Amino acid sequence: MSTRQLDRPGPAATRAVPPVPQSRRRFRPDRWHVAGVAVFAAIIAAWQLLFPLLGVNEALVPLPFDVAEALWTGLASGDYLPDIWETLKEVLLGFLLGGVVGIGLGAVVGEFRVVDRILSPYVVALQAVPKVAVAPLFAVVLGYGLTSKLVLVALITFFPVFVNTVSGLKGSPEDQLELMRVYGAGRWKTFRHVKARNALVFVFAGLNIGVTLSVIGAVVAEFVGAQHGLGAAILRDGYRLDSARVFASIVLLSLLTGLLSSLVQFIGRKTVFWVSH
Amino acid sequence: MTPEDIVTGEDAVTWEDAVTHPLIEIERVSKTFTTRQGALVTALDDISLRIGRSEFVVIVGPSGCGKSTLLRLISGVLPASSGAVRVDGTPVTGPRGDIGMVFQRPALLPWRTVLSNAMLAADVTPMSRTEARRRAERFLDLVGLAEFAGAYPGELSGGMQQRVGIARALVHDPKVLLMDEPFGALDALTRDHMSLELQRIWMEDEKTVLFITHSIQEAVFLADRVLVMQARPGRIVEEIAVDLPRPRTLRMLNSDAFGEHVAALRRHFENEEAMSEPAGGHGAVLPVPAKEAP
Repeated sequence: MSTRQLDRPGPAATRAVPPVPQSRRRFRPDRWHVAGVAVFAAIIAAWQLLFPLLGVNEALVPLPFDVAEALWTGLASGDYLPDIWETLKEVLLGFLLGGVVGIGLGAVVGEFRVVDRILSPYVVALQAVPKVAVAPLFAVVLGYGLTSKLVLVALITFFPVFVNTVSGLKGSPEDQLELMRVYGAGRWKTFRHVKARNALVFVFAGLNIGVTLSVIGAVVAEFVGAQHGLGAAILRDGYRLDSARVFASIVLLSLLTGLLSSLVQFIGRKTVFWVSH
Repeated sequence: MTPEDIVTGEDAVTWEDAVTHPLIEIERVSKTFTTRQGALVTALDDISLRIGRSEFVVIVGPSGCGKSTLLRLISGVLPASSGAVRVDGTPVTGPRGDIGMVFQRPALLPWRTVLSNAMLAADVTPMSRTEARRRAERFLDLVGLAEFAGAYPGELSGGMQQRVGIARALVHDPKVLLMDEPFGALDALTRDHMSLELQRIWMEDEKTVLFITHSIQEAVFLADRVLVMQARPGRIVEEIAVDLPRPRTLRMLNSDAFGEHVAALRRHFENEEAMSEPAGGHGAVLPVPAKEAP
């Protein structure tokens, strides 16, 4: 008798609702969060108090309060806005371009063995090239405007997205593929209903790596030659020995990277909702 | 067919048809594979088999005896090396869309709801969406999961997932339901329960079922006819009709008649070292009777 009920939907189980996504869970700081903040505060305090005592040159290593002040005045006066906007533009457009091409080409290579065989050597060879080393070349060929930055960002974003898309398409569980075979589903239907869905997890992993790299790409491209952008600002302020502003730009770049990465992860979690994170 | 049919001239032919043209016909089928080292392995050796309409046939055998290969030949995803496979009179030359398949793992698509999983046929076969929906709802109801239509597979237990898999396999109204150790990954209690459920579904839907298992008990419980397979090369070595009345109940598991059938089947595995061979990797599934000897 008891076996009959074993698998039966009981009254408690009938309310089958999807598990609450993590983002909806309310943030409740525990003691580890408190400890983390305390450690951070301690480091900042030590930096602020000890460095002057040790006689560290402020032109080389600024004090935290000076960095905070430079950041605040820079933002409040609107000084930083053109630079932030420029870098953001390069990162977003380049990331979009690299991501779209990476997914598109990855899909073709992952799906067609012939294309894989033909293109793979080139892709591997290209991957071996340190992308930032090509930055000066891009500047010469494409000029010092937006295009050269965009192309470098796109190139640097492309690889992780491409590689992950390819392996994602090859990673569908065998029983799902066998199921499609039994139905007599063709290549396109199998791709659409099984492979592409399974690949999404990998695609988002690739996009997340790509978005972090894209900021690096933008900064390096700006180092090579640019009027605006946070990378250009770092060079500019560096020459003027305004190290507080250099650090402030680095903080802004880190925040930008963190924000974009969180955004990609958020969209990823919403899209690939069936995978527990 | 009633006996009267035989008497009248025209219908006699029809009756003859039913006997000589069963739903699944396997005629002298062999399947050999080439290993990576280039050696030939005979997975199935000269197998002949006929399965009638609405019959429930169970195949038992050790791991690596070619049971799954046989199913793959019938479903058309694998070509036979020699011999002929026919379903409903037409030779199987490739996947044909009139086969329902249930695997050991449920193989549900985790991004689809239960209903959407059951309706998969609407997306991959010519079946219409409305028809698929109607049948999916009916079969989800039949497997007791109607109220879970909107849930995702990840929210269901293993047994419930497997029931969705069974519903899905029936939605496109296949001529044959092939089941490859469908309860193999479930715990013993859920397994018993699922056997009861499957019997109920089968009695209601009257599908022809070919079911593969490691478990002799499961075989006797479910089958009209049990086929015993042997490994290396894969062969059918015996066929036992199970004449226990239906619906069968869990209480019957302890009856003498049930025990006799189990014993008759078990005899075939006494001489083998064990049901599970090293190559199979499934681990021991059945107690080995030889060990019971003093």
